[in-house]
Amino acid sequence: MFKKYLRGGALYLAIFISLIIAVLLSMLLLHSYYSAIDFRKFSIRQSVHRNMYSAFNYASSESFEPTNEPLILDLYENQTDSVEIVKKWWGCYQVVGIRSSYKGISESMLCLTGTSFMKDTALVLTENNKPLSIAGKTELKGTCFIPKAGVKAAHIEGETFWGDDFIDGAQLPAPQQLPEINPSILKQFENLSTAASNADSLLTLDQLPAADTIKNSFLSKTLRIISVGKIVLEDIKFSGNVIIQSPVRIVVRKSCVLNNVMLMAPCIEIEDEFSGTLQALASDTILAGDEVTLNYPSSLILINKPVPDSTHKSIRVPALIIGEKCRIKGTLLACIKDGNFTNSIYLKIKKEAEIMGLVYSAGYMDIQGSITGTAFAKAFILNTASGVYEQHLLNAVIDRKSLSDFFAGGIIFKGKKANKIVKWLN
Amino acid sequence: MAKLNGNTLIETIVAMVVIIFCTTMATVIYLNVLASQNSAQKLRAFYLSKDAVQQSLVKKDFLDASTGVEGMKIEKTCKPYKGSTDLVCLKIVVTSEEGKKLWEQTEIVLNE
Repeated sequence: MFKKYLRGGALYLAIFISLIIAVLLSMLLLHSYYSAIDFRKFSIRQSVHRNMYSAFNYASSESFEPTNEPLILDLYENQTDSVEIVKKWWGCYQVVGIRSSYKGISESMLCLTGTSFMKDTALVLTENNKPLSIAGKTELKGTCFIPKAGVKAAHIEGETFWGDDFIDGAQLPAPQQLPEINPSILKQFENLSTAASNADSLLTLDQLPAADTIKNSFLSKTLRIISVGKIVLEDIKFSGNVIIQSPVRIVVRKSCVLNNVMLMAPCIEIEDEFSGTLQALASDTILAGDEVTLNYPSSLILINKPVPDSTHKSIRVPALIIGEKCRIKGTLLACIKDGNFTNSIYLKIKKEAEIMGLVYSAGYMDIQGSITGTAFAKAFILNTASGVYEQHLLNAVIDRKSLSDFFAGGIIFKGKKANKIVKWLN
Repeated sequence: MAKLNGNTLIETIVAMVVIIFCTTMATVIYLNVLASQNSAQKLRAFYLSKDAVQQSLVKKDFLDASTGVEGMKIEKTCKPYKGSTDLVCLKIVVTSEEGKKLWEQTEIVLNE
């Protein structure tokens, strides 16, 4: 039988090269496949990120009222872009928490939000038909809203006005009234002063664990530490979502460490040389001792409705006093619920104290230190060893020009939105 | 004298045809896969879309618009978000010259 075989030596080589080509092709295809998957993940991550900031913008809008309960929102009503939003008041700031997730990818943010400052405004006084008298090394830098009677130089306590210009900036007519305080702040404090809500974890002072450090996340329930009497905070560390509340008085010693916590009591006393970040809410007195440092963003808030004292002969004056050489970054607010008693509240900043941010007094303000930011006052008063001078400033500095336009303050005025991130939280 | 082994011309031609066929098939498949993914163009569309949003925010321009950039068409649609006065729902769609959708994104922005 005739048999002839075709030799296939070169075909073996061809098949071998084809196999190599097939392997290379499959590698390239795998690379493309993983690139496609990677791009799809990138696309989802971008979508989740966008949704998070969209939810933040939504939470910053006028229509979104703070609530202690989380809100789950389908952003575009397409069953895919859902986010969880938490927004609640924390002193004069708001805590905003957002969680956005889709197809196993999630992103979250938790921050303290505030509002932008009035641009260029250094001082807002109300119209009281009295001139503003300035003496010593007083400096007013920025736009000032001054009564029609104007500004004049004065000679008090042996010091005359040193400067060239009274105001380094524009001078505008003073309004009849100061901007209205955000009713949500007043309402928040009314709510806080009542019994704790279900949203809080409640602990009495004697139930505190032996550990000297308590840290509570803003994603957890608020830890409210209460006492029936005076509370003295010393040698402890409290951080985060913690409210310390007393019906009488809270004393903060310099040995304790407070970070972002809130204090609530009729009287709050911060001892000399304390350093920390806190928000203090009082209805009667806030007293910051000498050389106290309150880091950004801190706030001292005094809100009161004046009541006649036991003799019914005079009104007890609620006061917010800042000691000498204090350094405070944030907000100082002294206001009263009943507008008819605005003369009976007093905010004093002692010598060499430096405040960075916003200072508001619905009554009298006594500035002997410096404010880098904006001051709102019904009127000035100057208390010295030799006398009391109305509508006088001596060696006071109010400088808006040195404060960055990016500085975010508390949301204390009506109509202001919490649209600036003040601090990232965890 | 040693004998040298070699291949015939026919064998070599058949082998070359097989190799060329395989290479051509591989190239065609790979190019088709690349063309269907179009990742580079989509990525460029993403950056153009991001830029369009940024421009709208900086210029506070929340009006519908359509522009052409780098052979792509960017369509911007703005409408109030759920009837809000200060929130705008901003939608950007980037399409290729052939009308193929490359990137689409929607976000809510504050109109202050």
